[in-house]
Formats: sequence, C-alpha cells, structure tokens
Amino acid sequence: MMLGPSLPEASSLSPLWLVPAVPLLGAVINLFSGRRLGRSAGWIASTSVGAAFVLSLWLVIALLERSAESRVHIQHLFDWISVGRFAVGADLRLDVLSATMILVVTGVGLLIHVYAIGYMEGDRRYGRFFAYLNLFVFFMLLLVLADNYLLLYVGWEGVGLCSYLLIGFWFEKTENASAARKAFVTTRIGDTLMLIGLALIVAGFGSLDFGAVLGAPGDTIAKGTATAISLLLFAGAIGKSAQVPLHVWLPDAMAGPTPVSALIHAATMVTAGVYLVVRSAPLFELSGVALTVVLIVGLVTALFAATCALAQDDIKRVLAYSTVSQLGFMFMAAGMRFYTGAMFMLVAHAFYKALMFLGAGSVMHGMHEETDLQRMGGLIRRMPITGWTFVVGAFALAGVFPLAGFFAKDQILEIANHTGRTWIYLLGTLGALLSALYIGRLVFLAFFGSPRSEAAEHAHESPLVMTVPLLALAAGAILAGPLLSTSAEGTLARVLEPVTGPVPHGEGLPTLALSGIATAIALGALALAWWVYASGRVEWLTLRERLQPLPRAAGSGWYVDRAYSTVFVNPGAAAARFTANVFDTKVVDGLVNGVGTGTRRLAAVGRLLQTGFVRSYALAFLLGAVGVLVWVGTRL
Amino acid sequence: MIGQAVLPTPELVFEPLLPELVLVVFAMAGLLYEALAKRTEAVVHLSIGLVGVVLAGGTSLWLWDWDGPATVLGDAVSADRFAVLARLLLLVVAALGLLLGHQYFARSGDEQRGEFTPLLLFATSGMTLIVASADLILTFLALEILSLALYVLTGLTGRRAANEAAMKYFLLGAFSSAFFLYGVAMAYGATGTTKIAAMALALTGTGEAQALAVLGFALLAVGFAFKVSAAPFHMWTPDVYQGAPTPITAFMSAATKVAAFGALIRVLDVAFQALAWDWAPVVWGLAAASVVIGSILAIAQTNVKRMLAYSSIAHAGFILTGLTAAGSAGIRAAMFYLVAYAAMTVGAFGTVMVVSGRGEKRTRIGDYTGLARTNPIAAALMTLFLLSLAGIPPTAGFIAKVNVFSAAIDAGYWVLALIGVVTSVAAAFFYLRVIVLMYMQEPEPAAPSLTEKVGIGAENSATAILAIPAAATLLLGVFPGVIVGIIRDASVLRW
Repeated sequence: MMLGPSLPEASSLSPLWLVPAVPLLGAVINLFSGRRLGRSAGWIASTSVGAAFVLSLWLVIALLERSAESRVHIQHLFDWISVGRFAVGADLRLDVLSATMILVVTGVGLLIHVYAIGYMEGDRRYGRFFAYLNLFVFFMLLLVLADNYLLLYVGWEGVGLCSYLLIGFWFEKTENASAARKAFVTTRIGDTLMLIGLALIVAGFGSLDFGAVLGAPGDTIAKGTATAISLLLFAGAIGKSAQVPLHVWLPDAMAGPTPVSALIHAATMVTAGVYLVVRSAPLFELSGVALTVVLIVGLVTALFAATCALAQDDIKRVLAYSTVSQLGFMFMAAGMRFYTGAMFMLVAHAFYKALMFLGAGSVMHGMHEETDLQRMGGLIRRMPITGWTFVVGAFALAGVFPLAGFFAKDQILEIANHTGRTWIYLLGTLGALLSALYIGRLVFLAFFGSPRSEAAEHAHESPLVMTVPLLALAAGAILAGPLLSTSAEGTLARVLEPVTGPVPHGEGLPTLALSGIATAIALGALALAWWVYASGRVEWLTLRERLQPLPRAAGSGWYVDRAYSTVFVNPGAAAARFTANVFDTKVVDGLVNGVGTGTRRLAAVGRLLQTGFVRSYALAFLLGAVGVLVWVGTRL
Repeated sequence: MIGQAVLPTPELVFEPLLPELVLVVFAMAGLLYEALAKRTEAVVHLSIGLVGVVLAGGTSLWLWDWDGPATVLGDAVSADRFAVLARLLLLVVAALGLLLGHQYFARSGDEQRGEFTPLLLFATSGMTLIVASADLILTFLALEILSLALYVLTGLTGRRAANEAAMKYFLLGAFSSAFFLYGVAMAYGATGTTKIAAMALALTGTGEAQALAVLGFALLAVGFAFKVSAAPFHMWTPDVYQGAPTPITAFMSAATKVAAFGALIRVLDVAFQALAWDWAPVVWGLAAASVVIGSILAIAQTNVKRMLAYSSIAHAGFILTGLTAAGSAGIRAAMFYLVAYAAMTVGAFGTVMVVSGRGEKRTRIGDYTGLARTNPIAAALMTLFLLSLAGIPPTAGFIAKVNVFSAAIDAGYWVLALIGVVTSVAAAFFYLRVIVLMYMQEPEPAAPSLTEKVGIGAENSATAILAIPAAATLLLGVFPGVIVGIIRDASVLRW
C-alpha cells in the first residue's frame, strides 16, 4: 500500500516540489534553533534560497529543452481536500510563466538574503528574521507554483502574513506595529473580495484547477460571470499590489527592515497581483470590461503615485511610491493584453528596484539610520559602490537606453500607441516623465552636491556582504533589458507566448521615433533634476515654499490617508465601540449567558441520574433496550 | 437428509488470522516471562509487547494486498482491506497504550504490573479479531476476549476507585453480552445462519423472516451501543473511564470504539444491508441521544477524566451520525472519524496522565489553572487535542465532523446533522473552558510544578510519546487528503 504522497512518473522535472520545500526547511531550522545558531542563521537561510535558485535554474533549463507546446509540468503531490465531486489537490505547475516567477523570487531573493546577513548584524532577533524571510520565500514560491486557485490563495495569505510579521519586525516601536497592522488590514479588504471570487469560480466551474478554469472559460460561464470573477480577483490584486485605492499601506510598510522592503515590498510580493492578472488572463479577456478596469486603475495609480514620490523627503518613501507607480505601469500593460510586457517589466523592476532599496539600506547603514534626503548630499564620494550602483538603478528606472527600464517602459508605451490608445500613450509618457524626475531628484539630492549634515560627511561604505549583492543586481539591471527584450521576436516574449498569447499588433508611430521620444524625455527630466537639485544654481527649498500648498499635499499622498480616517476608520471605530460596549454586553452576552445557565441547570438535573449504583445503571440500560425494541416493534 | 449429511471441513487458510496469532503468542510469552523469570524488568515486558504489536502490524500490512479468498476458515474471518485498516489503527493505539502504561507504572511507584502487557495484547487481539470477524459467533467470542481483558486492566492498580470501576464494568458488560447473544439467536432464527455474508443473502427479498431479523438487529444494536458507549447505554462510561488507570482509559476509549464500530459496520452494511430502512432510525435515535446527553452532561463535570468520558459518548454519537448513511459513504465518514478520534482521545487522556502526576492526584479541572505557566508543553498539547475534540479547524476533529455531517445530510438526515452541529457548539464550551483556565489564569500559588512531582525525565518521555497523536491530529486536519485514498480502498467490504 502507498502511504506517502504519490510522486508522478520520474522525469527531469520531478524535483519540482523541492523548490518550495527547501526554503521551508530553512525556515523551520531557523525558527526552532535560530537563537542558538547565531550568525550562521543568515547563512543557512541564504543557502536554502540559493539551493532553491540553483534547482529552479536547472528545472527551467530542462523545461526550455522541451518543445514550446509541451512546456507544462504538473506535479500532483497529494489529494488535499476531497468533498463529493469537488476536489482540490496539492498540485504544482511549472510552465513558462511560473518559471519566470520562481527565477525572480529565488534569484533576487538570494541576493537580498545575503545582503541581510550584513544588514541585520547585531539584531536581537537575528535568527527569527531569517526564519520569517525564508518562510516568505516558501509562500511566494507556493503562490506562483500553485496549479489551482486555492493553493495560490494559501500562498497569497502566507506572504501577507510574512509581510505583516516583517513590517512589524521591530514591533517595540508603536509606529512599526501600527504600520504592520495597517498593511494587514488594508490588504485584507482585497483578499476578502478575492475569496468571494474564488467562491464564484467554484460555483461556475465546479473546480479551482487552472486547467479547468482557464482552458476555455467561455464554454462554461457567461460574460457577466466572467466580469464578476475577474473584478473580484483584481480586487485582491489591488490590495496586494498596492494600487489605488488600496495603496495606502505600502509607504507605511517602509517601517520594516530594508531587506524586507526590497524583497517583499518591491521585488516579489507586491508583484503577485500582476502575476494573478496575467495568470487569469483568459477570464479577464472573456469579460473585456475587466481589462479596461485594469488599464484605468493601472494608469491612475502610475500617475498618482509618481506625483507623491516627487514630494517625499524620506528616501524609502520615495522608493515606495515609485514601486506603486511602477506596478501601475505593469497593470497598464496587462490591461492592454500586453502580458509579456507586464511580465518583462516585473522582472526588470525586480532588479532595479531591489537594487535601489538595498542601496538605500546601505546609505542608512552608513549614516546611522538616517533616511532624510535633506540631510544627505555628496554621498557618492564617501560610498562609491553604493552610489554608482544606485545611479545604475535610477537610470534604469528613468528609462535610459540600454538599461532594463528603458525596454520595459518603452515597449508598453509603444503598444499603447500602436493599438490606437493615444490618451493612454500621452498620459503614460507623462508618467514616464514624472518617474525620471522623482528618481533624478532622489539621486542628485542624496549622492551629489555637497554634504548637508555631519553624518553625510562621515558616511562610510558598507561591508562586502552588502555591496556584492548591489553589484550583482546592478549587472542584472543593465543586462536584463537587452537579454530579455520584449519585441515580438525578443526572447521573453517568445518563451511566454504559449501561456500569455501573442503580443498585440497595430499601426502607429515608428518604433524608432517612439524610442527617441522616450529617451529624450528621460534624459531631459534627469537633466532638469540635476539642474534643480545638484547644480547649486537653484535654491530648491525656496522653490518648494513658493509652490506650496502643492508639495505639502503631494507629500502627504494627497491626503488620502486623512480622508480614509474620516470616512471609514472613525465611523468604523465608533460602530465597533457601540457593538463592543452596548450590543455585545447587553444583547449577545445576555443571550449566551441565558443559554449557558439553562444548559448548566439541565446538566445538573441529568447528573442526578448518574448515581454511581450499578443497579440504577442496569435499570437505565434495560429501559433503553425496551425503548429500542418498542421503537422497532412499532415499525414492523 | 440428515443421514446423508457430510460434515463440511473448511479449507484451512490461516494467513488472514496472522495478526491475532502473533499477538496471542507474544501475550503468552509475556506471561511466561512474568511467571518464570527470577526478576522481571518492565523494559523487557515493554519490548515483548512492542515487538508483538509491530509484527502484528507487519502481517496486517502484508494482508493489504491479500489476493486469496475474501473470507476464510469457513467464512468466519474476512480478509478485506477494511479489516487491515482497522487493525492497523488498533495496533497503533495499542503501541501508544503500551508506551504510556510503561511510563505510568514506572512513575506511580506501584509494584510492577507484569500482567499489564499480556492483558493489553490479549485485549488487542480480541479487538483486531472482531473487526475481521465474518461470523456473529466469532464476533461474540472476540467481544468477550477483549472485554474480559479490559475488565481486569481497569482494576489493575487495585486502588479502590479502580476496583469499583472494574466491577461495574464487568457486571454491566455481562448484562449487555446477554442482549448481544440473544440478538445473535434471533438473527439465526430469522436466517438460519450466523455467517454475515449468508445472512445478507438470506435477507434480500424475503418478507416473512424480516420481523424476527429486525428484532435480532435491535438486540445486537443494544450490545454494540453498550460497547461504543452510546446513550442510553452509556452509564458505565464515566465511572469506568475515571476509575481506570489513565493510560488504560486512553487505550480503551480509543481502541474499544474502533473495534466495536468496526464490527458494527459489518453488521449494518453487510449482514443487515437489505434492512437499511429499518435500522437507520435506530442508529439515528442512538446518535441523537448520544450527542445530546454526552455534550450536555460534560458541562457539569468537575473532573477532567469524567468530562472526557462524556465527550467520548458524544463522539460515539457523531460516528453513529455518519453511519446513518448506509454503504460506503457512511463507512468512509465513520472510518475517518475513528482515525481522528483515536488520535485526539489517546492524546487527551495521555496529556491528562502527564498532568495528573504520581498517584493521579491532579485530575480536577481546577488543577489545570495556569498550566501554561507551569508546564507549557502539556498545556499546548492539551489545547490541540481539546480543539480537535471540539471540532475546530485546522485539526482532525473538524474534518471528521464535516465528513459525518455531510454523509448524514446526503442520506437525507439533515435534522440529525443539525442536532449534531448545535450540540457541537454547546460542547465547545467545556473544551474551551479548560483552555481558558490553562492560559488565561494564573496558577494557584500552592500548586507544585509538575517537574517536582514526576521528575523531568519521566515527564519528557511521556510528552514525547504524545507527539505522535499530536502530529496525527494536525496532519489530518491540514492534509486530510493523505488518508482519503487509503480509506476509500478500505471502505469496500468484501463478502
């Protein structure tokens, strides 16, 4: 008899389950003996992610050796839930889409783990930190490898939990604890709607397997149902990927340790929403309306967050708003059915944004946890590796040829132009302009000009364990673009095509002209930023005072938080107080206590029958037997 | 005709009886060791017992792929996978019982109990025999084998409470055996056979004999209801579970139920399958009475062992709820429940044993106040088992309850399922009360910490044993799928 999970026939892809299992093992080891391991906890965690990365690489190569049509491997680990005809298995799916994701998660994850060994040095809960980080990688891999929506949801909630634990990692500070709570509660809104979406999928398809749901959804469900499901799933994506109107948690989440911001809140978890939309593309396409919603939400978020980023003084908050904005670009691409573009930008963004977050962490490390841009300046001379790699990341984000961000953004705008969406193209270009401006402002304020504080003058470069990952990510940010370029015959697009479908085509301005415009805008904006913030010829603080109240409003995220407090939080708190203090104590407790008292009295009476005498037990037995016989007798 | 009758000599195929033979041989080896050795060592007894159980388990596993006849020894013993799975479950429980008992007698300071291991093996052999029995006479024999051994085990320590419990158990057990035997006679009168398979054939399509058969079934049901402690035949349960030494309570609360339900399933779903419309209301009534009485009376208890005894009455009701669905749907639900119940009840009583300390002085519910401070591991284990007994996810108890309720609803007995759900809510009260005491109140200042009383070594090894049921409780709650396939294979009764 087979007692263990039944592994499928041996193939070169059968070690797939090890990919999530190894980080889980790392998490378990660090969770239970992290305190005793001391510094080696970080190395154990990094090794487990490294092993997962090597394994992923090996699996992806084996996958790509197959012909394009057979690049799907489904591994059934065990039956998980089986109720009547409804069954959910613990099934993993490796196809080109999940392959892309696991490479990003383990590859960028590995670099960030190594970096964290240096960054978290001396922390009281060193082992715990790496246990959480490994646990996060496990859940993220589960999310992207799942072959059904329920397992995906497990991963989805798991990464949410790890995000909560890590944002509040230094929970002694009230600010951090409440940021963690805010992130958890805000994403919960999306998650709940997503769960309803899963229920609708079960109702419509009788299954949660990707194969059954995404094969040909039009044969099973109506267009309206598809719209409902897609919008509910997208609501989950809005929460997880911090899109308007649920974006408010991400800037606050920067309270967590910087490697966490890099891994979870830039490179991987927040991109899960994009992955979800791309994965569920057949549902969104069936609906049509849903795609338009995705496009509009993405566009609004891209522009909105870019304006906020322009007015932040905290280095990590600039990057946080930037992440929100960049995710908006990814959703714009998905909304135009340009899924390969969304995925390409996801990969490119993972490199350059992780790079910049780690760079920001390195700056904080060198300046005693300083995050205020106004107190920096001229750092590139004190910390050259951090500085120059940061410049690479910033230029990649601004879209300077030939860095990764150039290809990513340029392709998305080109598709907008070629599919006749002129307004989208123009507004997207405006977003690109704002992106180059805010990132230029960040770079020139922090690294160029003259030092504006004591700490900035005495900043020191970080240790090798932190700078080597920076160099590796910088190499990725430079090379990812040309290597993976998404033009129709480009590599990533061709590989992803079996899952995401062909890249949309159309007529518009010639590609070269569009690239020229994009480059001009990027360079122009960077030059403007240099002139205002680093040339010394403009008093930018005076300029800002003259522009008030605009910078103040943008700096506070256009008062969205305050509006939510007034409209939702305060009335909600009042309602909660009423139910807790009045309704619960008077009505609910009264009811429960009444039932409880009644039951206790009944039990006390029943107890009297239990006399302890065998004769009375035998009598009860006999009465019972007579009862059964009489009951049976009446039915004969 | 009589003159010509030739006594049929059944072909002797003994392999399907190997687990029982192994158990009995090792039990006798234990007795001989106790009788002949100059100085006996508890560890030797434990080893004899464990080796016997493991070997019996091995032979059972081998029987999983048995491809001989469905029944052997004159159609008296079944060789189906149902019997194998039930046996394996029983043997695991027996192994846990042996380990817990070893710890218990080691710490109690009572003189060494050489009879413990052989008696437990004998009881187990009766239990593994009854789940494979395909003849009501053999079922009765097996029932007596297991019962007699359990009566003695109950009174093993010779304490006053234990003796009283053993006496009560014995008297009422004899009473119920009479009902059972009378039921066998009635069934024989109706069908002319005591073989379960032949009864099933005889009962399909006959009109006249059915009245007698139904009466026979009712009497058999009374006998089984006593063994599984279903209300209103449950009165012995609290007294016996409280009086017996705790490791024996752990063993019998789980194993007796598995064995008796295993035999009952064969009687319901094979022998009397043609009369499902007649027996279903009886099972319905027993189920409803058990869940209500078990859950409500548990609330009034102040002793943990007694509370768990009433809880076991309620759980018998839940299993019966699943069995109202005739056929493999009901069997699957009941089998899963039995596996889950075995894990959580052995775990709960095992934890009670750890907490109670030498001489079982601490078994009041009040003794659990602040346990999370004085013994956090025991408190955590107890919490897990209580949550599972209450049916709260992600534990095995939750999945088990979902299964029996959905089986009952699919069979059309939604009122019963409703009663079950409502009483589950009431039952949550007394389980959670213990958890609240353990975690949310400070320990009494006078309460000695456990380690002082038991010695840290003994406590740790007893706790380590409990890791097995704890792991099973969690695993089945999170990944019920791991045994669904096995249960599906085992839910087909061959006859």
